Amino acid sequence: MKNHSNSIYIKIIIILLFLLLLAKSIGVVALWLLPTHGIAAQTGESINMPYVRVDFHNMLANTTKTQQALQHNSLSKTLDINNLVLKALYGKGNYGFVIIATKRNPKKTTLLSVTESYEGYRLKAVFLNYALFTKRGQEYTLRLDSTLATKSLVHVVQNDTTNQIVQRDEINGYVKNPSAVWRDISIQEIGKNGNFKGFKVTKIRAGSPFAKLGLQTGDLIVKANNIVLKSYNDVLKIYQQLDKLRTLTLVIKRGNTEKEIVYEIN
Amino acid sequence: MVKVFKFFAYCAFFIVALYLFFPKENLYYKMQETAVQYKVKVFENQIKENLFSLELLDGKLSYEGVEAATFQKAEIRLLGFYNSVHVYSVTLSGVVKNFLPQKIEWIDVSYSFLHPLEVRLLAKGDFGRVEASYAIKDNKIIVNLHPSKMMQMHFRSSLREFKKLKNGVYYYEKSL
Repeated sequence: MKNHSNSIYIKIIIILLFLLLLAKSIGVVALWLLPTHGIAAQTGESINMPYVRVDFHNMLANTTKTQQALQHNSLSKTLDINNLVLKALYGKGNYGFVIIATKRNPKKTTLLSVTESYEGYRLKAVFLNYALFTKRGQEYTLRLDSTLATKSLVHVVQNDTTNQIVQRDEINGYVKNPSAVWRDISIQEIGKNGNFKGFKVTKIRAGSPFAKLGLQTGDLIVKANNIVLKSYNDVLKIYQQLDKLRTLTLVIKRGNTEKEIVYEIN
Repeated sequence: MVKVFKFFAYCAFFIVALYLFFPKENLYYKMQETAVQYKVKVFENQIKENLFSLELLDGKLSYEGVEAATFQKAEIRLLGFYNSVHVYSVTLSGVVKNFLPQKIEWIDVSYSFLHPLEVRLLAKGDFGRVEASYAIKDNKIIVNLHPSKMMQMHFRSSLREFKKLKNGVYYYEKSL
């Protein structure tokens, strides 16, 4: 009788041990399959100037070499690209595109944006009457085809800077009552799939502070306080810090011109 | 009868053992990864693994890179038949300060086998008390808000989104 009851207990213990082992095995498999660490906390882009850690020793040690390299790049390595023809250009600096073709087939043109490549040449920047390309670390200048260089073909972006003074009360009014922002102005994201162009002003209420600030319907806001606006979050970040800002700089595109408006908040 | 009892006892033992040995922290990391796909990020300063729950201390929640809220403690319980997340001492981001009071005492989100088609949310804070649910089948949110005096006095514009019922409860419904 005693032996029988003992065998029952042993059976129960064996089953429990088996279940424990099974649970532990599942746990181990799960541990193997699941990630071992979490995502790292990242802070967003600051609206203030970024903090950059620089090795001061290296800066001093390489100054001469860097200057020489720069001179070398800007003078001796800047070459004309003889087999390409620059038909037209649009924009200025890092914003813009060019229409380019080869001399062999000048009618077959290609539209090239800044950072895109053509025949191995990467468009670096667009200037008044020439475009700057890079290839294998060297810089090349391609001037506008002189036969085509008429005013009608050259769309030059003019940088226009306007300074305005804004009363903090007006800003605080918007901070306290955010619905007033959307009552006075409507903006819309322009661009898709990572090719973001900015925020288009679709409506401005006449007589509102926004209208007085020089913004117009159709303006494309591309930058605010040196931050390239890529999503509503970027706008939100600026809005969150609005009451602490002393200046607000907006870069807008209006038609073919780029305008910078600097608001000094008093 | 004894066999049935034994079966359930063994099942219960196995579930408890499984819960004990399951790597809860790693499961949380997996949840973190999944949340990132929906542009939601949860960060914490400390993770504490308890017998039946996982605690996150001094955490932050962000949406699309914008900090949405901070919390003192979040307790996650995933028991299968009853899953819940209790969050304590939540402070909403300054972004919402014009729409809502920022302080929330606690938020309790739960999903259980008793209500398989519903995720329930209860919360209490300076705004008052809220009972909300997400109907999984209808993809709909229903919110019943019992607003505090502060909410009624200072955040009237936010209450306009709700429908005021006769019993003083503010009702909101939205299909997603």
